[in-house]
Amino acid sequence: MWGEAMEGFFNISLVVEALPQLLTRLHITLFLVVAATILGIVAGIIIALLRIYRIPGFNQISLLYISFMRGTPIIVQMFIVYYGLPAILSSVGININRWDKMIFLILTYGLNMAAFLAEIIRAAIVSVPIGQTEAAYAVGMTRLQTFWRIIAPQAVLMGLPSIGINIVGLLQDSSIAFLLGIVDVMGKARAIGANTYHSLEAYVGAAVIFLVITLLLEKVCATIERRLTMKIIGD
Amino acid sequence: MKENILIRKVVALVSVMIFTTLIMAGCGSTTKDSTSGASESKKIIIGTGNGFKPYCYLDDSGNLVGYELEVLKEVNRRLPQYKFEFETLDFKNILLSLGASKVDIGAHQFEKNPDRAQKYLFADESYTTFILRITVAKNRTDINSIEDLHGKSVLVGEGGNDAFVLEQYNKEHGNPIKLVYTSGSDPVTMIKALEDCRADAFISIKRIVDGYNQTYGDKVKIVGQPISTSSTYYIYRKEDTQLKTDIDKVLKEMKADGTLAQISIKVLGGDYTTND
Repeated sequence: MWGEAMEGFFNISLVVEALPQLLTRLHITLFLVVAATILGIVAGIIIALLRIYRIPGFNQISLLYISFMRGTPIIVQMFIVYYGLPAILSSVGININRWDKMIFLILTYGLNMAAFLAEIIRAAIVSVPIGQTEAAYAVGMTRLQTFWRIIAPQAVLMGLPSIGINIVGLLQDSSIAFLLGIVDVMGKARAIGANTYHSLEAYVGAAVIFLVITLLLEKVCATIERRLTMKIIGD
Repeated sequence: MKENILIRKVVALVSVMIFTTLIMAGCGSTTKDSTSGASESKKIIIGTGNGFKPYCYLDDSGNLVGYELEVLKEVNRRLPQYKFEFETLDFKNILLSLGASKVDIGAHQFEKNPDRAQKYLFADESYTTFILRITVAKNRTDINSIEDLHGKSVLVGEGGNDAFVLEQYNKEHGNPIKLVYTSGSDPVTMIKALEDCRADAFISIKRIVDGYNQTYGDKVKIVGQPISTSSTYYIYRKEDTQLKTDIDKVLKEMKADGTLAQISIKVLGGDYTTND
């Protein structure tokens, strides 16, 4: 009965056919995630340090930025970056309107990632007990030495699991990039759907790919975490 | 010592990542540049979609194909002072992108309606007819006209002309039809909704409905008189009158010498440039 109802709409062999086609666009999805993660980590560290050292002015701006980025849907941010930013910049004579769409997307996801990571990094750094810093000063380390040798390694260990979760989240978030016409895995799934009218199969194919990538990412994060733990506290 | 090695490894890893990113970005931009510097002609960016077969969609290898592309390629061949480039966007973002100067022409089977005409410049020459018809599940017999849709729910596309036509109808008749807005108008979900009675009808055009029935087996049918008969036009920004005049002139030529009809027969499977 069920099988009969789905006849014509869903054909499992088309999922298998869609998979290799979807995989041809995997590098776009991965590129977006990697580039946005790098931008997010760099900007996130800067914002976290502004917050920790409470740099007057910047601290408040960072707070506002973080609450905006974490409190609005990413699709809104995508439209603000893609349509709003060029409009603002063109009023001061800079024309970025015709830049590649990918740049706007990396910017959107990177800036979004930065807000989440900033809080994770800040929390990780302040979670290292103050006694560690005092001890480092007591043996004659400078501020920078203390940070790099004592605080940073412990903070990285604290922050890593949450950072991993955010990268996985970013992978799923990247699936709305097709709204701007980027043909990543999700965009390709839609394109297959439009071309063959068999969109369900293409979406299932995309789901399989996202699931496998997510599992791999989690595995990689867990391995890095274990290795770092061994290196830093292991011996 | 241990930490130093670790930090060095992390730094190395990050630089490798940044390096690959740069290379990938570099590859992307060089391929783009090589196309632009070729001639002195003015670059015009066409905003179209990638999910509307047979007008604009992606083939197996990911290239944009379809009627919009074929017609505009021919237009461009006859207008060497311009160089057309195609940008694909989600349907409802095309006019937004036109307004924001992201693209210069909107080409996605746009029908003329007052809402759109107020904000943008419509071409004078149409290039396809678009006759909207009520589409219902194969076994439905109770819906045969727009009056029969009173109290029924109808799927319409966000920002589409089908939505506009029914919104106007609702305004004039005191909201008798329940409109259910969909995004991306995925055919499987729309047809499944009719089959499962989650909605009673959607609005489409005959040649597309024929395509659905070929793919899924006879599931839906067209009923009654068309609810709107219109044509599709290119859309420009208000100030781009020169571009509009140039393209209008070429379209007129293409209609007169039969080229447009030929493209329509080749891509759409029939001459839909003047009638259904």
